[in-house]
Amino acid sequence: MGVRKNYRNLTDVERDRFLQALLNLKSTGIIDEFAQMHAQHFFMGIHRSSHFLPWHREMLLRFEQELQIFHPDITIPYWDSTVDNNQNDPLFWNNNFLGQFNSLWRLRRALGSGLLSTAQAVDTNQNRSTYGTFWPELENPIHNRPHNWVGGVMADLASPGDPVFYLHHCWIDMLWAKWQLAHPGVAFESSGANLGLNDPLMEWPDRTPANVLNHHALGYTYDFEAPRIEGVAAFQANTGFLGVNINGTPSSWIDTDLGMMAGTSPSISRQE
Amino acid sequence: MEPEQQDYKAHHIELRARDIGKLRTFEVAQEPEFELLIDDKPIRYGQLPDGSYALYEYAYDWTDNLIDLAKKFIDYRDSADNTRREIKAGEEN
Ligand SMILES: [Cu+2]
Repeated sequence: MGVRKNYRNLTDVERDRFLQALLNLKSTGIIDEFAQMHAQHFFMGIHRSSHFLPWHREMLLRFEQELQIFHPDITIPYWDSTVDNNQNDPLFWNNNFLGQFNSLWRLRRALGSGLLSTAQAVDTNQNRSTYGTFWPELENPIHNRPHNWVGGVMADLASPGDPVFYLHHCWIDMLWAKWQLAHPGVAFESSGANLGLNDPLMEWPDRTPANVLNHHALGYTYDFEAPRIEGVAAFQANTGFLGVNINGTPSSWIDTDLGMMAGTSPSISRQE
Repeated sequence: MEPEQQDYKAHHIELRARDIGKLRTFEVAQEPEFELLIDDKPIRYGQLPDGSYALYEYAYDWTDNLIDLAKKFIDYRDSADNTRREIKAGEEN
């Protein structure tokens, strides 16, 4: 099971692998395809709707699978913009990480335009008790602000053309996963017609929110929930987690805490 | 919506009704009924499921009023241009 982690905790090897995979996906046209697809569906229920979180979870998963064709160990790292909120942060914006793409891919970034949300605002959002009060605030302002703060391509309809998109949305997806684990059994609520639990997601008519509610069933976890060898017993007791392999990756899960039906991972079939 | 014109910070914002006959002829009926222009340049926009508007170029700020959104876009564009200039100046020094 892949562990998605904060970009700060990537090893040099993992970071370089991720960067090479991005360059590869740009050269094969996949990045532009994802950007185009996002722009095409922008107004069609993938934003400002109950499908916002599930649609982007599916999209990220498919993008991650494309990265994994380059190297099977890659997972998408996340950018927590409540912590890394400085445009001068070398870790993130330097040319040896995401800075290089600005001129390379003509992204016209204007780092620092507008506001970012605070950790306190994220905490308040995490305490919402229903899906219908949780997602609208997570989407706007928490998700919207970093798009504008980065600026350029990241602020337009085709924002997946900037690699920062994937790190930002990985963080949003993590916040959803965290909220789900803290609110077991809370039901999905539809925000309107064709936006329910079993309604198809735009672009992938055979996929629905029900397929993606359980991120463990999609084959990944986040570092905040990853077990440490020395703490296995406590972790098992708290989460229903059964065991770890020698390298510390989960061997199997009982998903009682997610309290929702298991999802299945999509298989990528690309139209050539 | 009604056709409307406003000046804002040395920019001219206009909501102009489209020629519906022309729309039918060219089969572009999906285009919105009103055209938004800033300084006579068309600004593309769309509507989210709840009816609020977003601009193609400035897609993550949503309001119910297109003229207000145009003003926010003007402010945003100015501040982003400033930021880019500062970054460039910093790089040159
Ligand atoms: Cu986004």
